[in-house]
Amino acid sequence: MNLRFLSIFVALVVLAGFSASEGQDPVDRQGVAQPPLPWEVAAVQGFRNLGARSCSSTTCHGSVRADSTNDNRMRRDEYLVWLEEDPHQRAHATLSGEQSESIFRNLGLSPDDQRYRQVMQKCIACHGMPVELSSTDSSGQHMVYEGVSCETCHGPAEKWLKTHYRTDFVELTGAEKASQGLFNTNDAHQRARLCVACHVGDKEREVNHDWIAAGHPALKFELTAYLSMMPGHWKETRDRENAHNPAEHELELWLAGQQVAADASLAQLARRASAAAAGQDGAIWPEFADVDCYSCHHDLGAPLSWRQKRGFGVVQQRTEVQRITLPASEWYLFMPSRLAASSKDAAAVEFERAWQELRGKMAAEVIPDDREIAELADAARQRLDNWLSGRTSTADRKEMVDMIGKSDDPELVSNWDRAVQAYLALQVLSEDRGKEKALRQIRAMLAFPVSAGRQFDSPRKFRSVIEDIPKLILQFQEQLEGKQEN
Amino acid sequence: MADRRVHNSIGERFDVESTRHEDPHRRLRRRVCWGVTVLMLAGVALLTWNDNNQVYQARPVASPHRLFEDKCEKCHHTSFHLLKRTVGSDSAAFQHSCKVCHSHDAPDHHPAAIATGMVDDCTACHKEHQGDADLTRVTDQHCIRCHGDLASAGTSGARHFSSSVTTLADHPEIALLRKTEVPVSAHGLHRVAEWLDGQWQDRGKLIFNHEVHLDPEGILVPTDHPDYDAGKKQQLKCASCHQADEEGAYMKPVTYQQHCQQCHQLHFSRQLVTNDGSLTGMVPLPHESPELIRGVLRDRLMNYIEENPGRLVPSDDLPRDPAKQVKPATAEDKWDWVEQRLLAMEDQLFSSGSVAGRGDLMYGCQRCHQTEKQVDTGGKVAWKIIKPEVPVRWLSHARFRHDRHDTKITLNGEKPFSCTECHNVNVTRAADRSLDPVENILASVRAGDILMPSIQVCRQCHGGRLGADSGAASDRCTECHRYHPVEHGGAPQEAALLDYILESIARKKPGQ
Amino acid sequence: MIIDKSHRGWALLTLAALFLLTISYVGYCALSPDGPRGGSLPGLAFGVLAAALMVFAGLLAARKKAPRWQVGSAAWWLKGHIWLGLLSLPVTLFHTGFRFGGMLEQGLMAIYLVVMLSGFIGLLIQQYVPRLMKVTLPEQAIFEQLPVVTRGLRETADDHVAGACGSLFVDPADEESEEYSPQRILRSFYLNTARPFLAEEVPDGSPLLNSTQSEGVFAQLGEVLPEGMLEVVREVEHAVDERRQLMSQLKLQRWLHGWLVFHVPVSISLLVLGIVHVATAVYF
Repeated sequence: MNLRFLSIFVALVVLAGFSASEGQDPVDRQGVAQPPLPWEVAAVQGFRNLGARSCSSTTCHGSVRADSTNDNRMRRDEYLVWLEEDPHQRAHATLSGEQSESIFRNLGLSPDDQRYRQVMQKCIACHGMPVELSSTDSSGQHMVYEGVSCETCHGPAEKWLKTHYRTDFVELTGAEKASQGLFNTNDAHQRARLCVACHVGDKEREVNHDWIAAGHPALKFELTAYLSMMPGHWKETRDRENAHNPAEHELELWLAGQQVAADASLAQLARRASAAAAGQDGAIWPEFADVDCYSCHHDLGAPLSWRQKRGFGVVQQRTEVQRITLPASEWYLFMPSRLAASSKDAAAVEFERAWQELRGKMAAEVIPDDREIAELADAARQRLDNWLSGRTSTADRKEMVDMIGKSDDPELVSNWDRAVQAYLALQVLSEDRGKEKALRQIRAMLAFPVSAGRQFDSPRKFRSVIEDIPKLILQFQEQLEGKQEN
Repeated sequence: MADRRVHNSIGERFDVESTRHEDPHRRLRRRVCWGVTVLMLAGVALLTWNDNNQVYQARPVASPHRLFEDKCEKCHHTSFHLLKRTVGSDSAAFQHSCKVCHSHDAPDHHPAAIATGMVDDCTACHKEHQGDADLTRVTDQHCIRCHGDLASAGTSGARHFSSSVTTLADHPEIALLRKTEVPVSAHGLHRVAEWLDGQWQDRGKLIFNHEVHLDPEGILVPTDHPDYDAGKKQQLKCASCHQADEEGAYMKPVTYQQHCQQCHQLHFSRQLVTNDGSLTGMVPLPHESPELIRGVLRDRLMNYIEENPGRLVPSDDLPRDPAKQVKPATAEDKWDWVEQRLLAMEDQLFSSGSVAGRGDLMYGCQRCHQTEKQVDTGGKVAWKIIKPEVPVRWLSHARFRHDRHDTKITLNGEKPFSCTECHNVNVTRAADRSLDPVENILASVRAGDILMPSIQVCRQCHGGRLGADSGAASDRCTECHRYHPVEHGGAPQEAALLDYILESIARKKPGQ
Repeated sequence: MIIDKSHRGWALLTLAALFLLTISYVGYCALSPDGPRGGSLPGLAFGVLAAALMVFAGLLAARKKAPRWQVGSAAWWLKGHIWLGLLSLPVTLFHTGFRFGGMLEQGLMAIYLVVMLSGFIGLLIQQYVPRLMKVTLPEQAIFEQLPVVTRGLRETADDHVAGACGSLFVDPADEESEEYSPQRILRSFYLNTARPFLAEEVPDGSPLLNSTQSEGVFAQLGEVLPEGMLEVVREVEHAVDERRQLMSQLKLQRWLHGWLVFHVPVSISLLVLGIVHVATAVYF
């Protein structure tokens, strides 16, 4: 590593360390007594959702023209941004689209089936607002159709709609506002929780392999990537100002995203394994959604595919004919694991060990022992929480750069999930909003093919790019260093 | 005393012829009688020379009718009307003569009343020949004659109305605010309200929320308002939109151009961003019908795509996630692009109600208007805005003057009237004006709310007497009620009036 | 006519009728939304009743003119005339609703009031003048005979004086002499003072107009004349007294008869105008 590179960021780390500890919501870091998510507030406290219409007044959030006079104020056109550009607005519409119909067909359900409705309710858990949480007005039914709307993230507006713009409310703390039902989206960790609940899954929400097989896109979520793709209905400047660490806002988001997503993923695995262990009706084990997609979905070259030849880096291959195993999906855990591996923290080491153990057990058998997996998943989750709760909330550049490590590290890009996570981490480090040539080339190599006619779920030729990507990463790192020196 | 006269002859003492002569007094009387008779008749004849019937007039007519006062036949069409009326054969003689000027088709309060003979004709209530009196001043007794006991007065519609009203004190609540549906004719209450969800609601088809607009802390000025500044607020009051007409009696209609446009400019899209950052979508649409809007939109979209042909190809701004595809451009050429966007934009502007996949999102025209989609047999879509038809006049059979209930009026130094003192959603306040109403306009969130005052509000001042529970403002029936509908009765017809004027001019030649 | 006990029936009838009519008027007022009016049915009824009462009152004249029609005695008619005439006043006011209408109606009302007033005055005259006459004028004569009686008095007095004085003619020779014989005195007095008083037309300044003065004059005359002539003087005085009474009687009876000269024509004008009023009200 370049020592100069290192030294420049020490100060930043120190700064980050200090600033990160201020103004934190203590409950965030303990992993217990987390503030309730908006739909939990609605269900438990009974605050009603009033619908996106109630935010849409021209003088409030429904203006066409964004405010350009004052960066500390709201945009004024939030509603229209959401309405016209945000895919969340179309979430419910998707359910009546061609793809949805095809999914239901593939699941063997027609609208007349009773199960159709049950399944649809599960879809609506993410794709809309459940009817029972909507307003009890006669127009309450319509809120389902709003897709993921204002109150899905910001909390039911019943108690704060008429007060949230008044001075005495604005000056309340995040916790006090949350007690009225206004969710604190400023905090990176809380924001991550919101997104992860649907984009990864929780108790009421999951996308399993049956659905993916029927046609539902696989859930591969990364917070900063998704935030960049979502047309933000907030001012960047204001968002940064409200962050714990304005200077490293994106890093903060990245780490929060990684932590929450990893936690949710492990929780989901534990839940599925426990359900199978308890013999619950409808429990599926092993759940292929927790397995690396491309361990099965790969091209079958003759005589052995390169994957088979290479192995999966878990169990030493003894014979030429490799054993069939189903390695766990690394999408959510790769980066935390790598971060832990490069950390000296004892809790980090603990976590890494737990994760590797879990990973080993998952790959050991085609059908791993559900009870064992459940326990290991819970343990890994606990350790993850211990580790990340005990450290500063912000990732720092140095750690990230360390984690990415040498570009010739074969572990970094040994599968698509890892490669993309690395790429996304580089995006966070990018100084030019991802426009560096190297990054664009990496993306091109990792991207799925584009076609008007059909949708693809894998890159064109991963094997051939597996050597090229490290070179590009090196190029990027040099570019970064060069910029820092200049 | 004994008669001392000594004459014996009766002839000498007694004038036997005297009985044959007429008593001079009698003679005189007779002559005077004849003279007087002739004098009287001559006097009457003289006074009525030239068809001047003024001497016969019981009293002068009201001043609006003085123009043809000398022409009795203008009103007294039939002779021997008194006899005919007494025997009941011509009780409605004046109906036609009044209607020569006062509107041919003024339907009266209820034609049934005339049909059953309760009200004969105009003169049943409007008595002329009372000197210079106000003919419109009809005493309460005329109304109470039927309305004091409507059941006995007994016409077919009677059961829908309160059966006994004798004073303002026992006047029922206005129908608009009653809790039960009153099955009156479409002519009346239904012109302004309809019965929905168990109450009367404004039948205007507009979506509006008073509470939002009248926020006591003010509302933020919209970004495209001429006075925009971040954080700047503007306090709207009733008078910001509701202004009285020139007379001050009633409120002028609220119009988009005057009252809504400054804040609610009709922008249709924030997506059409040109290369220089300006928004083509920022020029507001005209407040016109959907057909015109379609044309304007098409024009603007075409202009936009001509200036920004790059929009036809997908942008090179790639999503960060490599798994995400960029949607390929689906438009083949400019026209295609315009038509696609046009359909989508129209859908966004006009679709109201819950649409599967989008919901009732109150964007564009549907923020305020209810719309209707029409698809013809060829599949072509056309939109229609349902006419708002917001009632301009409520209680159109009544008369009221807002200027007499002006906010500058104070009563014995108490605080002056404000709009919300009378106009409340529900009034449960006591007679003491210092108490706030339980609910008021500031809580009205639906356009369907009827914000008309309850009769209890009126009673606080209109009691006809000073007392603990009312004031002394007049409580006559005609203070508020009109017997003749506003748009019918009223000003006399010009043609008839002109005739009278010309006639009277013709008779009075210069020098006469 | 004297208002006495015989009028009791009429009075009671009139009062009862007034009471009933007042009640009906009050009820009519309360029930009419615009107040009482002449043209309303009750108003018309009152008007017709008032007209009927007035016509009845006017029929007295017809009754007097036709004494052979024994439809009630004249006295009865007169009583009816008085009482029903009185009743017609409130009834008329009820008809008008206590309002006075236009020119014709106001004129009518004025004339009517004059008629009523003159009638009332006439009634008063009829109450007191006859009694007055009976007491103060014992020497009454039949009104039409007054000239005859006056002439008779004069002739009687002439005879008396001529008997006492020889003749009434004045001898010019006597006039020149300065001798004032009693006959001359008497004759002179009679011709200059008393006789003119006994004429149809009494001179205005006559001292005999006043009874006290007349007494004094005759007393004075009695002193200068011899006793034998005193009887003649008393006769003449008596005649003069009677003459004076007849003059008073004439005056009073002129009142008694004369007020009708006012009352009747005014009533006729009332009738004429009343007919005009009814005709025009019915016509228009």
